Amino acid sequence: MTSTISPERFHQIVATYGASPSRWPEPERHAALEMASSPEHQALLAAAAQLDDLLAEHQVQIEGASLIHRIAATAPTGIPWRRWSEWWLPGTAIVGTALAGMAAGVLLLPIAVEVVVAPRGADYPLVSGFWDESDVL
Amino acid sequence: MNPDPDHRLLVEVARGNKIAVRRLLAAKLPRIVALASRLLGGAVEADDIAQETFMRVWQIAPRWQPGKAQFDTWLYTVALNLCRDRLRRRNRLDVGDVPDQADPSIPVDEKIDVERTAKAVADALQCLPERQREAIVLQYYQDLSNIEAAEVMGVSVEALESLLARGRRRLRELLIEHRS
Repeated sequence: MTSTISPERFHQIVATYGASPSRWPEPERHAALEMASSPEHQALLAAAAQLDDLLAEHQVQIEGASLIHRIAATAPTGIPWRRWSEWWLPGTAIVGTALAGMAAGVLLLPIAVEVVVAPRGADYPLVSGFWDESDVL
Repeated sequence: MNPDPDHRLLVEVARGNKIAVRRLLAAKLPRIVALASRLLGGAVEADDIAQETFMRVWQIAPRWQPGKAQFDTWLYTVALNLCRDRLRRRNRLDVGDVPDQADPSIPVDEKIDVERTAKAVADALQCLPERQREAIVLQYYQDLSNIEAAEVMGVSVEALESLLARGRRRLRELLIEHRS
């Protein structure tokens, strides 16, 4: 941390970084703030602040959501989705039966579950709800 | 060097975590678009630069090693270099979004139209030499410290200060001293 700076350096700081102390170099900021309180430097600071205010009028409008979506779509997907076709024969309907046993006697409760398998080549995510479209940024 | 706050997010991006991708974009994209827009003077090209910048982010994410550099510094450096490439191509082809007749002067009418002022500033930025414009955009608009801005530009802090001082002097001439 610089304890003091010369008037020339203070002028240079204001001419370089403007009137806002938050933009002044951190090691010299404290010393510059002390000089800034001096009446002889007010005109210099006012002139720099005038330019700062003008520069601040230039705001860039960000188009936002659609650009984020476009760029996000190019991001890596990590673990590749597994293909159903690696697990099931294509076009096969499978009927499954579930058996439930009870203490006295056996009661069979056949439950038929039909699973329609996706045709070969289709990709289905193993995990759904990963992409929350309602996530407002 | 302080721990990089973006490291954890990059790890998740590399894993394909889409929530992390959106969070990273939400945090960084507006500033990259603003940087490119001010350097190139056009929103369309700024979007292109942003897309190219993040393509590089996706490539580097699996290999990012914390401690070598802050991610933000690397990100701005990539975007700046892409803008420089675009400007070099533009200068070779002699086409681009630079206003043919930039009128950065601001009317002395007391009822200053904010939009006209903003356009005057935008035009004045485009009138600056490229390096001065980079310095002003990085230090003033992107709020980088002098050390960060110098690192992104690949210059010393002294050189950065010289560019800033000359850039501000030129902007003052264009926007304040030469009013129509």
